Amino acid sequence: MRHLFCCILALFFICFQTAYSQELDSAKNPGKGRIMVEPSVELINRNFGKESLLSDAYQANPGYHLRMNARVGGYPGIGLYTVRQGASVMENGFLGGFFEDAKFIENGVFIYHTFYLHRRFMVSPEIGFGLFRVIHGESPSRFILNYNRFFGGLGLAYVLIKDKYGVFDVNLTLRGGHGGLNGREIVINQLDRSYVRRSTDLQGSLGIQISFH
Amino acid sequence: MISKLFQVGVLSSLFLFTACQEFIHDSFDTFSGRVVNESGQPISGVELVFTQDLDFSDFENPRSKSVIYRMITDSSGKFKFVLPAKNFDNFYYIQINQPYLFEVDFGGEKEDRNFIFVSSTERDAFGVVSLGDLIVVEK
Repeated sequence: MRHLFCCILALFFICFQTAYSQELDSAKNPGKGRIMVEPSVELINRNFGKESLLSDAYQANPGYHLRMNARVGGYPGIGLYTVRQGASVMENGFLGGFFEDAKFIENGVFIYHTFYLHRRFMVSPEIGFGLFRVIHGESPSRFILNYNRFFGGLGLAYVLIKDKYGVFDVNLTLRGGHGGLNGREIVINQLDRSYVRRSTDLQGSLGIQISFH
Repeated sequence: MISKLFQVGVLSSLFLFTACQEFIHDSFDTFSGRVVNESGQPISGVELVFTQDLDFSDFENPRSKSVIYRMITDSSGKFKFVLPAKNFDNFYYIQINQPYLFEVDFGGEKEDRNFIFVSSTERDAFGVVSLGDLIVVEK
């Protein structure tokens, strides 16, 4: 229920910002009307919420986050992303001690809107959906757990470099997000079902974005 | 003709690749039961070892060479072992530690052993293998 509320709030915020940005002075919204493509690479860390298998059985290491955003200035944009992280498997009562390490792989899509607070400073709320996989071991002894992940987040970007011809900007990005994970395809006894299938996470990432326009 | 052969080859390879996977993705097996005495009263605090590897060099009293889980029955005598489900090699042993032995019906005769043999081939739709009441005797 809390996730639904967060998603509605984020959606409302995005809609509000969309309407509000139409009114912005072009000096505060320098890319208005331009097509922008914004690839980024970020260092990411993730913490899972308590009382879940993902929280208790894994110690996630920092990973990387690749994103490809596209938008028309002044309007919401759409982005694709992929996340790769390694994790150590902690002692637990579910994985039988068969695995020492795991890989977290997540691919997904999101919508976002960039709001200029200043010519060099932007805020981008976003909501999205991803497929999150926990991969243990190597084939043919590979064991995979699949989760759906809905998330909302907020990105801050600061323009570090402005190309003098106006072709691209280089931005420093700081991003945070909260997600809800659901592994409804996972087969498990009824008593442990909620513990294994459900979790939440908090993500934080820091990186570089190049904004072509 | 060649394209059909190619399709059959690809499908066969996919089938073999899937069939050879040791684990069943997104699936856990659960072995659960209760330890009781001969009069059906639950026994708490009994140490059980869940293993796939028993050393039968001492045939009367085989010992686990490696341990998957080690646990103690709760106040109701209940136990539960959960692990990733396997396509094959899914046979396990539950070893009981002294001073207890399992009372096993072996071809109509009751035998006392320090282990029982379990398999996930009898799992239900939720991956649960219910072992019911396991009778143990104190020696």
